[in-house]
Amino acid sequence: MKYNLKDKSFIGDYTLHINVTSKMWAIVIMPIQIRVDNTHGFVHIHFSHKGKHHKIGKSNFDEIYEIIVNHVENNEIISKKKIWGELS
Amino acid sequence: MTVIKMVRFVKGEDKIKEFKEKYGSIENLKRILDSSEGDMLNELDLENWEHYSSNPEELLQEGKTVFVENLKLSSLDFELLHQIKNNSPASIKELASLLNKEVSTVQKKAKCLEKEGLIQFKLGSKNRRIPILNYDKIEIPI
Repeated sequence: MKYNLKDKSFIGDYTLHINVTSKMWAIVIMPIQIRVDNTHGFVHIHFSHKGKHHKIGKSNFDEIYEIIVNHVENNEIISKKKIWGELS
Repeated sequence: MTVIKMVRFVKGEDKIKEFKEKYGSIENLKRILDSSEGDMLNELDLENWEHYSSNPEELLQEGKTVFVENLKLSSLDFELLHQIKNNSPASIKELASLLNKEVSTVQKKAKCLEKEGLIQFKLGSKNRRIPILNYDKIEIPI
């Protein structure tokens, strides 16, 4: 049976939230409020709540999740520019 | 550093009940999102609420991963988690009674498990602290 997924991981000062349903997925980094998701038919990143979206090059959920986890684990302070670069 | 993943399975319709308890109504959640108080987690809740309203039978695997340092889980800790999950004690005193241990011993253990994020407490009547374990299984990935 295939389940929807909702997961919360605590990494240093950040919390990583994953939400996967049959229709869409989203990864949110809190409290910095960065969101990567595939709504609107393409994968993109938001740098603030209600902020505009920016297209990224990567589209595979697992690959994107791994990049984000590695970034959060290896950087005490998340750089929005750097993380966008890694995902592009 | 030990990685501990807690997992539970919840049906869409039950998730909606939790949202109702948390926000009152979907309109209220939308109001929060429109105000300056709203954040990306409220947005995720709204997306899930809307999704499970259309798909109440779908099953959600909900997890919480914690990275803990120097956590040593003894057989008493596991027994404590088992009792909280399966017998829902209404206080530490009741939990101690189920475990046949001193209240002070159980209190110390429970505090440690709370600190590591494995259990939670909610306030009951007469200021009783009710231990809660909302997850179905605990995984230790290696």
